[in-house]
Formats: sequence, C-alpha cells, structure tokens
Amino acid sequence: MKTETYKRLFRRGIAIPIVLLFCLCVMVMVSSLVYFRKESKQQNINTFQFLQVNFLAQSAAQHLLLKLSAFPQDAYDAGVLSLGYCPFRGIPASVNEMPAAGNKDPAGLVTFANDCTSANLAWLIPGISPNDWKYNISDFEIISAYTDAVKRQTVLTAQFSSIGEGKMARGNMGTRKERLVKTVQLTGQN
Amino acid sequence: MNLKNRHAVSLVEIMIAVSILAMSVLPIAGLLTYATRGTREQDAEGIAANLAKEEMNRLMYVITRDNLINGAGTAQSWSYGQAGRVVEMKGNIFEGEYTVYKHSNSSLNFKVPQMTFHEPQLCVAGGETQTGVPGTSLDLNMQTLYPAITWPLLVDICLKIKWRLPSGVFEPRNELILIGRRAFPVEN
Repeated sequence: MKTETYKRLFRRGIAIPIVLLFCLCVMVMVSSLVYFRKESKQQNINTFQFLQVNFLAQSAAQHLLLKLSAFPQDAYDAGVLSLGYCPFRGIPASVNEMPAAGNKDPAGLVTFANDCTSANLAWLIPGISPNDWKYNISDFEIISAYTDAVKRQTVLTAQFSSIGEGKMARGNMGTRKERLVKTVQLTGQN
Repeated sequence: MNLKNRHAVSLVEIMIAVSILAMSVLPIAGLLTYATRGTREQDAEGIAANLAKEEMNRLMYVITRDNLINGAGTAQSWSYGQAGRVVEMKGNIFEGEYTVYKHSNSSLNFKVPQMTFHEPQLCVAGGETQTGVPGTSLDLNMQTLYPAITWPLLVDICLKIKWRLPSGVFEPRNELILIGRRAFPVEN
C-alpha cells in the first residue's frame, strides 16, 4: 500500500520535466545543426575565394610564361648573370671544373619578372575592380645550372612564385592571397 | 492528498506540458526547415564550385586557341549545358557562361633587361668576370617584335556560374565568378 502511494506521488509532476527534457534535447540538436550549417557555409565561401585567387595566381604564371617564350635568350642571360657565371662558358657538373662565380646579380631576373602584373596590363573584363583581382610575380630565381656537353647546351632551372590576391564581397571575407610555385627550364647554346 | 486533487493536478499538468511542447516544437520545426534548405544550398554550392573549377581548367589549359577565341567578346555556353547553358544536378539547376576578351598584341609591352657582355674570346677558365649591366631595361612591343603573329597572345576569360532550386529563381548570392588570363606562347 505504501509502495503504491509512493509510485503515485512520483508520477505526479513527471509530465512537465519529461517535456522540458525533450525540448532541451531537440533544441541542442537543432542548435548544433544550425552551427554546423554556418560552418559548412563558411567552408564553401572559402572554397569560392580559393578558386578565384588560385586562378589569379595561374594568370600570373601564364603572363610570365608568355614573356619567357617571347624573350628566351634575355631570360637565359639574366639567369646566368644572377649566378655570377659568364654566359659564354659552360657550367660543368664536376665540382673540380666549376668556373669561379663572379658577382651574383639577380637584378636582370627581377626586371624580367617585375612587369608581369595585373596592374601593368588592365583586365578587359567589364565590371571588374582591379583592386579586388590582382596578381604579380613575387620572385624569380635560378635554382640549378649545368651544361650538357653532348648537346653543348647550358640548362638553367628557374623557379618563380606567382601570387594571386583577391577580395570577395560575399561573406565579408577579407583579402586572400595564394602562392603558386612553378619551375621552368631556360636553355642557352654554348 | 486525496484522490480527487491528484486527478486535477494531472490534468493541469498535462495541459501545461502540451502547451510547452507546442510552443517549442513549432519554432523547432521552422528551424529544421531552415537547416534542411541550408543543407541543400550547401550541396548546390559545392557542386557549383566543382563545376566552375573544371570548366575554368578547361578554358585555361584544354580548349584550343581557335575554339577559345571563336566568339570572343560575347557570352558563350559552358561545356556542361545539355540544352543551352542549363544543367540539372542533384535537383539543382546550374547555368554557366564564359566570355573571352582578346588583348591586342600592340597593347602588350614588356620590359626586357639590357645586358652587355665582355668579348667571348676574353674568357679565362676559372676567372670569368661578368660585365653585364642588369638593371637597365628596354620596352618592347609584341606587335612590333612579332608582326607575323595574327592571333592574340593573351586573353582574359570570365566564367559566370549561377544556380537555383527547380522551383526557385536565380539570386545574386548564388553566383560565382572566376576570372583568368591565358597566354598563347610565341612559337619560336
């Protein structure tokens, strides 16, 4: 009899706590859903901005590749001088036969790459703000050089970094930069 | 506490519980609808980003020069349009177009470093001296240098993609623009 009374007393007032607990659980679930949705949305905006800026960096690479194709000898000469070697001599792979390097002067390479920027050649696309869509070449250097004695050809391996910089109105995102590193070979006859 | 009172409490209690449940479930149902719509939008955004990347890669590196510059200046249909520019994927409608803008070769000027070298015969192994004078440059025009080239050496590409649900309309926030510059290297 006493147990029955306890049970009834316990049952009294249980509906409201159960409902409140249920509501709390559902609210937590929905809140997490909304939170993850916001996070995911931000990721999509990040992806959009990455794509935009990455293609700007690729545009810079294209710009410099055009210049390299148009002036290969000038690029080669500037590259050799940046190493301090004489452009008329070979660079044997053997350490014992390596020519002594003179003054290393990268100014030629810097001049060569410096004008491959979006500021130097305006976009023809209407409605594009040049401040929001920018690219440039940040560095251009020779990372290795050797002479292929059989071909009588000196091969310089050059590396450049192209930078894309973009600003996206959507999502109040700030300026984003992406760096793209590309390696090219410059050759000269000896 | 007698039996009568207990019954009355249960009824009031259940009524309060039901009203609390109703008050909380209705907004939650609204939030769930919002979250479901959001998930679908994100899905569409993800597909749009992938389509845009693929299409832009095609325009930058795959499509031939002649095909790319054909119709330059006017909007062209992207490669995904089965009927016109529209394609349906996972219940979303995507529409894309690109426009190519040709740079005149006469507008392409490049600074080329000027260097002067010593006499080749004066080189001494192990003791070369460079007499190059980097730092000075010469402005050269591509049209003047390569008058035989009739095609544009550099083009600007603008790709626009927008998306919507089948029942919805295109909104400015559901639009992605990618721009790029493609070069056609000089063939020496």
